[in-house]
Order: sequence, then C-alpha cells, then structure tokens
Amino acid sequence: MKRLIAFIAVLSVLAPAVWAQDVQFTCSVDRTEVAVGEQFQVTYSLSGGSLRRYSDFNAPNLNSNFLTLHGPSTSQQMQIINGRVSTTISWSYVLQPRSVGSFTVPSASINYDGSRLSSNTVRIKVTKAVPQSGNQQQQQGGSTQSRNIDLGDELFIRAIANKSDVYIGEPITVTYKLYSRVAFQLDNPIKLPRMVGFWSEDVETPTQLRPRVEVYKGRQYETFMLRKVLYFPTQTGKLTIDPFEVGTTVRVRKPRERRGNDAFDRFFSDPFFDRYENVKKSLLTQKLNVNVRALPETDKPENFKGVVGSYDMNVQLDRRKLKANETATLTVKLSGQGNIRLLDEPSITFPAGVDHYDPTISEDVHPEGGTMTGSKTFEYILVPRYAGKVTLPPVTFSYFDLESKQYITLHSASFELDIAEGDARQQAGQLEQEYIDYLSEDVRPIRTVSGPLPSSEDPGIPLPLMALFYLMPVVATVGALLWKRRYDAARGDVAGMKRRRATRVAEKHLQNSRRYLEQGETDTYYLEIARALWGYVQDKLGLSTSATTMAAIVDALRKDGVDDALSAQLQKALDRVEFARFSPTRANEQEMQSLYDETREAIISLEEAMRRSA
Amino acid sequence: MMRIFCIVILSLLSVAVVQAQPRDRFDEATSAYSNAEYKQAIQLLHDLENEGYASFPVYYNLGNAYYKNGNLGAAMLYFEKALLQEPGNADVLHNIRVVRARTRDRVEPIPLLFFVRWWNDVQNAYLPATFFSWSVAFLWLLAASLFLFFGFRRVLLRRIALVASIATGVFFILTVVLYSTRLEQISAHSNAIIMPDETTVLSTPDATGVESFVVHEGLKVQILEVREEMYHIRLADGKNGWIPRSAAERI
Repeated sequence: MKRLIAFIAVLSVLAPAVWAQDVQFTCSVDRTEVAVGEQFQVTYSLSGGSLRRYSDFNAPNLNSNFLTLHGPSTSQQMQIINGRVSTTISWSYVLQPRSVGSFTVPSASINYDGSRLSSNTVRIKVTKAVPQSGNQQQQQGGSTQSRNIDLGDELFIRAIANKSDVYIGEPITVTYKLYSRVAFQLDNPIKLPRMVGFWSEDVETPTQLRPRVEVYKGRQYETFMLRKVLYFPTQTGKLTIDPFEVGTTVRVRKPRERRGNDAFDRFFSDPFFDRYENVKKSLLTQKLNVNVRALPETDKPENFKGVVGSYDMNVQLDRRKLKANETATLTVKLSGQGNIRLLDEPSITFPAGVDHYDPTISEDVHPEGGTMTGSKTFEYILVPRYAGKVTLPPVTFSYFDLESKQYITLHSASFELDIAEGDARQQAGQLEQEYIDYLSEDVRPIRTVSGPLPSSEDPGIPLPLMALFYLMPVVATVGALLWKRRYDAARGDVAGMKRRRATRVAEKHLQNSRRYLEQGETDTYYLEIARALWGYVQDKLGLSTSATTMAAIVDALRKDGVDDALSAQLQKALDRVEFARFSPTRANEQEMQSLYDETREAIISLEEAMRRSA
Repeated sequence: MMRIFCIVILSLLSVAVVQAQPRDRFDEATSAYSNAEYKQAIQLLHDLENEGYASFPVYYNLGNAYYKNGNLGAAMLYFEKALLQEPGNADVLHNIRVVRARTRDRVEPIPLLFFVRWWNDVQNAYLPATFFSWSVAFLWLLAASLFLFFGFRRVLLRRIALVASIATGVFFILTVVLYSTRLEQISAHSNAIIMPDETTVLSTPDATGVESFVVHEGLKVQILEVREEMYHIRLADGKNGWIPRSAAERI
C-alpha cells in the first residue's frame, strides 16, 4: 500500500512535465530539506507560450504549514535559445517551516488561454538539525542540487572599470567578464543592481557568449564578456558600484564512495564512469570603489547645467523672412559624446513679440563601443506676432570638456528675422479662441433612427467584388473595340478603305497616264491624270464624287489643317488638269510632261501633309 | 400540469423580452438618455455595439451619453468612431470640438504644406466606399476615352480622346490610392484616444525612459509603433513618446 502511494506521488510530481510540453506551470523549491527556523524559497513558474494569455494566478494557502516571510514577488525572464524566444514568469515566496516533519508545498493554479493549469506539489522535509551538505535529496524531475561547493579559482566573474577617479558626470565603463575553467551554464538573466548615485546605461549585452582565451594571474581561462555598462555618477564623493550577481549551473564530478576493494568496483572507479552532477552556484563580482570629484568652481559659466563630455552645436533657422503669425522653426542639434539622454535644452532667450513653444526633442543615441555618442535635437516653433525686424540672440551651451579639463561655451550666430505685415485673418491665439468658443456650447442632441437599426459593416470592398468592378470597364473597352472593327469591316467602311487605298489608286492612274503619254494617246492621258488627282483628293478627304467642287475641297483641306500654300498648289494643279482636259487646243508633249510632274508633286506633298497632321 | 404550462409560457415570454428587437433597445437607450440615466444608456448601446450594430447612430449616441456622464475620453473615442462612419458629419464635428474644449491638453498642430493639407482634407472627408465608386467611375471614363482613341481616325477626336484618357487615368490612380490609404487608416486603427486622467509619456519604451511630458484624458494621438506593452505615440504638434497600452484606446 505504501509503495502504491509512493508510486502515485511520484507520478503526480512527474505528470505536469509529461503532458505540458509547450506551456508549463511548475512548482519548485530551492531545497527539499530544511531545518526549523531556516528559510527556503518556493517558486511557481509559468514558462513557454505567450505570457499575454495567462491570467488569474491563484496563490495557494501556504500559511498552514509554513510562515510566509516574503512574497509573492514576481519576475519575468526572457531567453532566446536557438532563435526561439521563451518567456518565463514566476511568483516566488520565501517560507519558514513552523515545525519538524514532512510537509507538502501545495499547488497553485493559473488560467492560461481559457484552461486552468495546476502546478505540481513538492514535499519538504523539515529537520531539527542543520542538514549536512552532500546528504540532500534530489529535487523533483531534475538533477540540479544546490550545494555550497567551493570552485575557488575555477569559475568567477570580475567587474573591470576603465577608471576609478572621475569627475561628476564622467562615464565609467565597467565590463563584466566571466572567467571559467569548468563547464557551466548561465541561469538567471543578468540583472544589474539598482544603485544610488549613478545613472547607468547598457552599452553592450551580447546575445551569444563568445569564449576568448585569457591568462589571468598566471592561469589560462576561457573568458566571456557578459555585459558592458556605462555608469554616469550623479553625486560626488566615494561611491561604490554594487556587486553584480550571476547564477550559474556547474557540472562537477561527484566523488564515488569506494566500498570494497573488489575488481568490479575498481573497474567502475575509473574516471570514465564518474558521475557528474549539476550544482547551482551564484557568482558575485567584487565591489568597485569610485572616487567622484566635483567639477572645478573656477571659470564656471553662468549657464552651465552640469553637462560633461564633448559636444558640438549646430543651430539652424529654416526661414528668415516671414509674415507675422507665420511659423519658423529653430533647430538646435547637440551632438557628441557624453550622457546624451540627460542633455537639457540649451539656454535661449527669445525676444519679446516672438511666441515659442516647448521644443520637440528627438534623440539619436548609439551606446556602442564603450561610450555613448549621438545627438539630441531640439526643435522650437517660433511665431512672431508683429511686423518688423527682430534679432534672435545667439544660442549658448556650456559643458565641461573632459579632454582638456575645462569649461567650454558654444555660441551660435545670431539670427535676424524680417517680419512682414501678417494676414489679418490669422489672429493670435486662434486655437485658444476656438476652445473658449466651444466651452459655452453643449453637445448636439442624440440621434433617433427610423426603420431598422443599421448593422455595422466592413469599410472595405471585398476583393472579388473589387476585381469585378475593375474588370468590367476593361472587358467593355476591349469588347467594344473588337465589335467596332467587325462592324467597320462588315459595313465596308467605304470612306476608310478609300482613304487607305487612295495613294495606291492614284499611283496606278499616274502610271497609266505615263504609259499613255509615251504612246501619245492624248485623250486617255488626260483622263488618267484627272482620275489620279481628283480621285486622290476625293478619297483622301472623304468627299463623294457628286459633292466635289473646288470650294468643298478647299474647305476640307482647311479643316484637316493643310496650309494655304499647299492648298493653292493643289488648286492650281486641279485647274490645269481641268483646263487641259477640256481645252479645244491640244498641248505639246513638253507641256503634257510638265502637267504630269506637277500633278505628281501635288499628290506627294498632300500625302506628306496629311500624314503629318494625322 | 397547469403550473408546468405556465412556467413554459413565462419562460418563453422572458426569452422574448431579453431578445427584444435591436431597434426597441436603441429606443430604450434614447429614453434612458432623456431621463438622464446615462449609465443605463451606455450599457444598452454597448450591448448593441457588441451584437454587430456598431453603426453611426450607436456610436454617436454613445459619445453623447459618455459626455453627459462625464467621461471625456470615452466620449471622444466614440465621436471619433462615429466620424469614421460618416466623415464630415457636422453634428459630430461640433461635439468633438465641445469635448476638446473641455480636455486639458492644448495641442497646436504643426503647419503642413498646403498640398499635404488638401490631400488630408480630401482623404478624411469621404468613406472608402465613396473613393472606390469614384475610381470605378473614372475607370469607365478612361475606358470610353481609350475606345474613342483606338476606335476612330478623326484627328481632332483622337487628340481630345488622348488628353481625356491621360486625365481620367491620373484621376483613376488618385482615387485608388485615396481608397487604399483611407481604408488602411481606418482598419489599422492608427489613431487612439488617451483614456486615463493623466499619463506620463516616456522617451523610450523601457525602464531607462525619461519622462518627456504629460498627456490627459480625451487627447487624440497617432500610434506609430507597438512594442510589448507600449505604444509609440505622436501628438498633432509632433511631440512623440511611449505610453503603456492601457492608457490609450484605439479608434
């Protein structure tokens, strides 16, 4: 019976680890055996999944067997393992057992994504005496033991500061480095202590630890840069940078007890068969002492606001000429090295009659390479209210230069503003006036609806409908064009066909007339010439034979944008052809030849003119 | 037996009462409003909103009820939502100014270039569906002018058709861009209203952020970026910073 209970107990402890592969809600203790009056820590943690989806952590009643000294304190961790982000949120309590015996740390429950998860329970053995190290029971599900082992020089972290004697505001770069000669694993996310007297900024936090070999005190170590932090002292005097703690798990060889001297045992006592165990070890750096000196009092500028570093100032005004009530922007950019995040705005005295607003501040900080460099930009919007000339006095900015150990004051040029008479409509305080106007007003009455209440609708048009609407005009155009072509072909598009074929027809007639000219057949020659020219003009201009008069031709030519000189040339040719055709006297061969040339030329130039205007 | 029958009838009746017509519940909210029972009106209207009747009258009346109940932030939120449903509605614009006059922040917008201002004015004055219908209309005009250009040979006609197709093509593209940017603006919910009395705006989203300035209930801000539990916001005057998500409600 006892065995059965023990079996069930073991199963119930292991169960959550089996079924919850993604999201786990577990209970763990830092040790399973404590003495009365000693403290131990219980942690309920939810890991994996998205932390946004949990809700409603239901704390167990711990006070029946234990005394809650502290808690619950919650913490969140985020780890990136092989590119996967895993987050853990945990609630921890510091407890003290009330009496000797064996107790169960009850389970807590939490709501995750609608379902309720319960953690496992853990048994705690409470003894009278302080338990001896090495005599501890293993924790549930893991092989991690918490034991105070002395690793000595094998594994430690150091804080290395680049200087220990600084002026107030001068940054100290502290590099936290881990030195190791054993296999280890970092547990806790590295958390910096909150310190009084310093303003800190992480400048380098490697996401992956890269080992480097370094010799320290005559021994060779693998070193890992854990973090680089800039500390800006904000107080003077002797300050300390608190130790920085890192939790690690170390694999150590577990010493085997040798029972007898038999061969079997000797065989297994070979180091190859040595058992290893994981031991938690927290590492602390040494404290760093820093002497922070005050800045010298001599030559301290009046407008000095405690800025330390080295800076440049760039001041720009976007426009010098404007009307009253229009806006101009004054941009002051401070760039350099130092605590850029804490930079105050430079001192600017704005002349009377120029309204200005709180500046828009933008930062561009690069905390890399052990220093903080970057820039801070202040943008002031200025609104001159009256016409005239106004001078903006120079912008000044003072800082203590760390290189030369002296105060430096930067001055900008002064700017002259030329303000013209403004638009009367744009009165000062227009915005404020609007606010005042509406203060006395009430909201308009509420709406009533007639008919059914309209339901909410999606503002977007569904994609298929959109495609349909857009495709319809395209399809319609293509369809209409195809239809038009078929319609033209069916109707014979007499005019169009004639126009397209006019040149070829004219050419044919001209060729015929040339042949007749050579053969001396004068009548047919004239007929062909006339057909060539008249036919061409009619076809090209779309005139019917019966409607072709000289006036109609001139009209049509003008409509088609043919210039008057060409029109005149064509008229002359037409006249000559008519005259020659119906003249009672027969012309000689030379004259007929020149008539042929003239006609041909007229057709060619008309052809060119039509092509140009088409 | 009679008792069971009565119970059945009564329970049927009560179901009918609970599932009253949306229209009736809207009227109920209206009368609650006129009886100065603003909390009840808000409750009824919210129920309607959640049931899929999130239309202009519901948003508008919610804005009024919240205003009368003294919740300036929520009033502003619902008036802005109503404005998205009916852009340029004079009553909503009036009410928004009334609420703004009572909020504590006075934010002067950065003067914009005139064409940017025109673009914004046009974009905010119509519904996405309106821009879509315009774009379809312009596409038909474009199609017609292309038909004239390709289908006919009259020189003058073709010239006119070419100019017309370029013009309608430009207008078509403009309206498509207006449609998509307006739709994006609405569905991305890139604007939000500050809800708590007072919220400190931080310079960065993490613990090292310094307090930049303070905003108050009812202020409209633009959301530039979302990170973890923080919104990166920008005010109309260009000031920007980070606030917790809980401090702002997206429109």
